[in-house]
Parts: sequence; C-alpha cells; structure tokens
Amino acid sequence: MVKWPFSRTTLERTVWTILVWLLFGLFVLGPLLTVVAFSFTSSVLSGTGTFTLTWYGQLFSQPGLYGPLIRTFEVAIIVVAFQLFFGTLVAYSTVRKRVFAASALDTLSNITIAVPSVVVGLSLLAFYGPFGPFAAFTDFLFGNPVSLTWTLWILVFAHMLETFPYMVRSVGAVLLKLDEHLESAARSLGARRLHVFLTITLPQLKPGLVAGSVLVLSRSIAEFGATIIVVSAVLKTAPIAIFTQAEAGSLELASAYSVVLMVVSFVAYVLMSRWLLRGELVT
Amino acid sequence: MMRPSGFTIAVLVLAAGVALASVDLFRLERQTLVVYTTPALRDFLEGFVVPHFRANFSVDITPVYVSAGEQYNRLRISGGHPEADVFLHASPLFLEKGFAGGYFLPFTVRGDSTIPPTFKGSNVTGGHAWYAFAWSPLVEVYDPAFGAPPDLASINTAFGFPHPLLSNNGIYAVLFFENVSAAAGLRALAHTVVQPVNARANILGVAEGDFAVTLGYEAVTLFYVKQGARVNFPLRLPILAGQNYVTPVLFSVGLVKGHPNAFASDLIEFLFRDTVQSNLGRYYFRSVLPNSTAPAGGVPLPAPGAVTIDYNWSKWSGLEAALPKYVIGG
Repeated sequence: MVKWPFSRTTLERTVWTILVWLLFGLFVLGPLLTVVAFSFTSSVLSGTGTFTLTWYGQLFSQPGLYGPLIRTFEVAIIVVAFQLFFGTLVAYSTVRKRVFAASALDTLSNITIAVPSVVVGLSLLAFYGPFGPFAAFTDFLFGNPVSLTWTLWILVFAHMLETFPYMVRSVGAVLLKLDEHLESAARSLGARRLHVFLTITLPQLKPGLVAGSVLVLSRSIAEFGATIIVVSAVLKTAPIAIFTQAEAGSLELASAYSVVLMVVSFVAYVLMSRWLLRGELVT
Repeated sequence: MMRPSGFTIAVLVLAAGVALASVDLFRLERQTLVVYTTPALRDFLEGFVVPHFRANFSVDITPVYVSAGEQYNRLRISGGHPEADVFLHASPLFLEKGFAGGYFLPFTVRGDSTIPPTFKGSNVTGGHAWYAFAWSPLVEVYDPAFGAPPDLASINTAFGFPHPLLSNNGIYAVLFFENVSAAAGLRALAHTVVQPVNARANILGVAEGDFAVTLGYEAVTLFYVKQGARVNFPLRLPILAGQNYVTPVLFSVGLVKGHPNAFASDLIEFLFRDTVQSNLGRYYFRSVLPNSTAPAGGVPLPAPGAVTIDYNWSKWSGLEAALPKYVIGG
C-alpha cells in the first residue's frame, strides 16, 4: 500500500490556506490591486492601455487636482486634534462615570457607526442650515441667524461625527484598564484633579490616543457619505474628487487619487502598529 | 536642560499642523470665487477665463458643473448664505426665476449701452437681472448619412430630445418647438428613446449613434467637430416646414445675492472686456458686442429668410410650465 505523502494536518492546512487566500484575494486584495493597476494604465476604457505615470504626473502638478488631496489631509489633521480633546473628554466622562447617565452617553457615542453617513450629513445640514435650530438660536441670541451651510465648520463637524466613536472607543478601552488607585493616591497627597489627569492619567492614555488618532485620521481621509452632502465646491476632498472623476469616466485619475489615500492610510497604520508593538508609547 | 518628550513634540507638531491647515482652509474659503456653470462652458472657462482672471486679480475661480436645476436648489437651501458668487448659465430661465425669488441681485455692466437689448434681461430697479456675455445659435445636428438636415415637421427617425428639466439644451429645444410648432416637438419626443442630460452628451449622442438627429448648441457641436466627432459639417440651422430658424442660446451671467466674494462683480465686468469677447470665437462662441464675427465653421449669420426667435425671458414661467411635457413618460 502506497503511503500518502502528506499528513492529514498538512492537507487540511493547505486546503484552508488556498480557500482563505482565494476569498481574501477575491474580496479584499483583488479590488484594491486592480485600482493600483488602473492608476498606472494609460487608458482603461480602451482596453489597450499601457504602463504610464501620466495620471500621477497630472495629479501632483495641477492645483485643481492636487487641491482636494491637500484639503483632505488638512481637514483630517483638524479633526484629529478636535477628537483628541472631545473624544478623550467623552471617554473619560463615561468610563469614570463623571456625568449623569454615563451609560446612555457611552451607548449614544456609537450612534454614528449605526446611522448611515449620508443621514449624518443631512442631519448636520438640517441642524446648522439656515432653516434649522442653530440659525434660530443665533437669531434669538444675536439678532442675526448664523448658517454653517457650505462652510468649513460643517465639513469639520461631519468628519467629527463620523470619526467620534473611534477615539472614544480607543481611549475608553485603555481607561478601563488603568488603575484608579494611582490617581486616588496622588489626590490624597494633595494633587489637584487637573494635575493628576495631566501627569498620571494622560501619559497612560498614550496607546489609546495614538490608536484613536490613527483610526480617526484614516476614517476622516476616507469620509464620503456625509461629506458629499455638506461640502462646498471650494473645500472638495479627495473622496469626492474620486467620485467626480469616476463619474466623468476618468477611472485612471480616480485610481491615482485612491492609491495616494491608500498609501497614506496604510503608512499611518503600520507606524501605529510598530509604535504600539515596540511599547514606545506605553509607559 | 530638560529634553522634551516624544509626546510633547507630537502635540506641538499637531498644533502647528492644525494652525497651518486652518489658515489655508479659511483663506481658500474666503478668497475663492465660486461659479455655478454648465459643462458647455468648461473649455472657455478653464482655458481662458480662469487663468486670465487669476492673472489680473490674483483670485482663484472654482467652476461647479452640475445641472441648472440642481444649482438653483443648492442656492435655495443656502438661505441667504450661498457658496456661489456668480451663475454662468446657458439660459436665463433660472436667472429670471431666481431673481423673482430674491436669490439674485440686479446689476449693470459698464458697457451696457453697447449690449443689444436681446442680450440682457428687462430693466429692473438697480439694473438688469442678467446679461448674456456670449451666445450660440441652436443648430440641427444629424447623422452625416442624411446628407441634409431632416425637416423637423416630419421627423421620422431616432431623435434625441435633451432632458428639459436637467439641461438648458432641453429648455432651448422646448423653447424652439413651443414657439414654432408644439406638435412637431411632441412628434420629436415620440421618436426619442434617450434624453441627454447636457449639451455635450447631446452632441455625443449623435456622434455615437444613440440617435440620428437633435438640436444642439453650435459652439458645442463645433467643439466636437474639431475633435473629429462624426456629426454633420457644415452646420445648419433647424428647419421646420421648410423654414429655417435662428434660436439664440444666451450664455448668461447672474450675480448671486449675498455672494461671499467681493470679486464677483469684477468677474462679471471681466467677461465683457474686449480681450474676453474677442477670444470667444476660439472656443466657438459668439460675442454679444456689435460687429463680432462668427466662429470658424459656424453658421453664417444673418441667414437670408431665416426667422429669429427672440424670446422674452421675463415670461419664463410659461416656458417652465411647458418643460415637463417634453420628458419621456412625463
């Protein structure tokens, strides 16, 4: 009797490997790599495209084309800074039960994950628009209705709402693991609450802040659904430019934009992983 | 000396990044002039107006190309805080409608006396609701296999009736048929399967064989003819029951009420400068100033025997009411 050269375990592992990688390639890697390939193709629609760097040349030389990329990163960095403050505040308030109905606030802080982003955009337009409560409120207070429609503010708010849960969850997860006794001990020795937060709590939150910042950055860079409702023509971001280019039939240019966004998000993610794994930011 | 921690450096870098980003974004928001316009004007705007205006005034222009109806609604929902400064449209319909709705300001250009009355809106307090800065006649665009333009009274082939609610080209097609023969218009609609949504898609529809005949702008047709598109050449005026008609497509400008950029009026004046008017022909448009010449390859005008349809745009509501009639299934 001929002996089967592979063990059952090896065979199973091989079958699993092929199956999982095939599915992963089909649904994840395949589409992403196709976009990369399109970005280096002279003409996708003609079916006879050759290798070219033209689209990247155009993207980085024409202000009308690279403008949305710059805007994307500018908005993302503002949103990260806002979230470092606002997300940390909410996470601290809910985990440490500093506010009434902390559990409800904790649950509600996930709401923008559950609600479609286009609904978030419309909600902002309704609330901060000329016919919404914000205009009515400012009219009541100052005698002049303030509308944030088509402004930078409403764009930043849209990105903040969409990215908010990621910072709250990242910081909250680290906060849950922190030993509150250290803070209690410092306070019992006479340290003020703010001093305790800045010197004891905050340094220990670094992994959560870094992870949250990277997630917020990536999510903000990719934000589309809410943005397309609220963004003005001047502040158009890269995902909107991708949509516009794809709709206009320029798949190659849309792909070049996509590759730039992919690279930035991927690099940010890798840097974060390396820092966290090295324990560089963990005290 | 104490060495700053990595965390401190990160915070400082972030703060600097936020400051720079905010300054740049606010500058961009305040200084950029936003123009709601039509794809038919894309080459003229991006090839000539935007770079020359920037060179003259150091102000950037962002053209926004979506349908006139969409732009009008965007203006309405802004409630007095518009993003657009200026509307440059292929028809004055939405400018008249918007003026009646209180969304546009009246204005007068310096060379008002040189601009013929047909190229500006009626007199209102403060000037005019709109001015045409360029124009182009409606032409009959057809499959070259026909040899001559088919008579629109007895159209019996695939027609491309541009969508009147999504494109100004559709508005002009309705204007033409409603003023000449509504029956012929409905006959053309009955032969329509595909309704193009803008003036460019309309001409490409003939070039790509989606339909055999349409009514398009001379300027857009010439643009595609020069690019080698398979449409008729030389161009012909529309013919209906043996009669030729000149329907001027008025590329008009309106000043948005509450426009955020102070250079909006400068852009309007700029459009009527001799340098701009004399370069319209390069982009296949016609100047509104007297004694201007036709673009190369354009229909020779005045055409003997042709009837000109000088529509009174202050009666826009009647035209608007007729538009839905020319939508397939409408």
